[in-house]
Amino acid sequence: MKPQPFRYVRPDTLEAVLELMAEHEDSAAILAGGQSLMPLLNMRLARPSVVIDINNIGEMARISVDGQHLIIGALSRHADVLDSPLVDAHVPILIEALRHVAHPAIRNRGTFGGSVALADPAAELPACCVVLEAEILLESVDGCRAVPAEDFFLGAYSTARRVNEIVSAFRVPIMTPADAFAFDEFSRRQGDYAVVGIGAIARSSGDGSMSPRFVFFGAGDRPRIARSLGAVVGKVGPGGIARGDLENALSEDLGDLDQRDETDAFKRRLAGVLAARAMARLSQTGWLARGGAE
Amino acid sequence: MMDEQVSILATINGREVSAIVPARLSLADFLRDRLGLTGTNVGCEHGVCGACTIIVDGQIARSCLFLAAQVDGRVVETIEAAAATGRVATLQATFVRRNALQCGFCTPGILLTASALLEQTPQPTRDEIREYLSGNYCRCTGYQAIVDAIEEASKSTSNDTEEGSRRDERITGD
Repeated sequence: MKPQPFRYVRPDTLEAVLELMAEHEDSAAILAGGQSLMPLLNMRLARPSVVIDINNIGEMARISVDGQHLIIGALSRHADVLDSPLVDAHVPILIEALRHVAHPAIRNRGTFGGSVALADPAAELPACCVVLEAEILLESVDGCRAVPAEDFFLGAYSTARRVNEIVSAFRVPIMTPADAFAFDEFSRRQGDYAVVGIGAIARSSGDGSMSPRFVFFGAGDRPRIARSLGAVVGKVGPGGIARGDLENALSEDLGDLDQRDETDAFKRRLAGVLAARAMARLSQTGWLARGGAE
Repeated sequence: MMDEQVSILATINGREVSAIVPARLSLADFLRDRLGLTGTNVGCEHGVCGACTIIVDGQIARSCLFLAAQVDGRVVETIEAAAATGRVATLQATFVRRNALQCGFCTPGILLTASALLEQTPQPTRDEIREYLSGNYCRCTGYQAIVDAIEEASKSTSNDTEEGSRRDERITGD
């Protein structure tokens, strides 16, 4: 279980990285945290001819606020996002989600950009990007562009990133203290990939109404927006939805899982349990209600 | 393709180490095979078992998921140094007293991880201990004794009085 030989480069500037990516396209692999790439290399599931180590590009690790958005650099370590007062203040659902991601040693190295660029169907951060309606910022020698999260994840390990592009940062609409959120998942061991998971945000508008958005992960080849569930809960509220109506909405949103094998039917069943738990959590309305927030 | 060679200069267990390594050599293999630091063990080589855990720039990390080439300019500490400096001395003592190791394969990784936990959370609950150690597999002990040992270590480092150590003896029945 050793990698195939490769050329190793560690550029000092983003420009140099982009030039290398333009030259090598998909025969180059980006080494950020390495917590997903190294297993792929070790098992020879990935065989790049060039490994581009971007860990010297410090500017890609910054977290900052820009008006109504939090900008998270792609090289931000999970541990640093977890410890960030800006993230805690403005996008607290990420703190909840990251508690489920891997283990401390892996969170010290793994990065936000690496997790999103990999797009594992059972991963937490892609689902967070979709429920937050974040934009993924991509850079290449051709320039920069922003892709809405909903359009970024195309399938298992497949994204809208072009072969010469690097995921450089995330632009996340900040939450307000009146917004409610919930995040939960089932996994066999703390930190494992989810069997199935849910991210939920109910953004409050000025008139006191809430717009809920539910995203499941581990329930298909990419994060799935549960639109029927969102519509029902938007009408009656998380405290007002009967279990039967919740299951009906989920059957519309995730019904295909019942047509497949026992594993998928089990995930469908768990999705119902997670949705019910999310309703209970959202019913506390507004994240000032979360325990110990003040 | 020939193995590309990369030059590195790193501080490993307090010593400056200069080496030329194949680009694809893992840090775990470099520590074990080139430097003879065999306290770090290689289990799964994909990051899930924790046996390869070491400390890089003050933070625990998986040495099987680090290229040796990447430690250029960095500070690395293995279990050998952690033992020699006394970083894990209390934990080593409680691990022995509570039978928290049998074959010992997972133990270096667990000691370093537990040490990082106690640095961050000096008085963890048993649930917090289990959660923090969830990335370390042990096939021998069933984990109970490991949690006991870490909990006991957390109590004895904060109870450096004679009364404190007498209280610990009453808990263990020694």
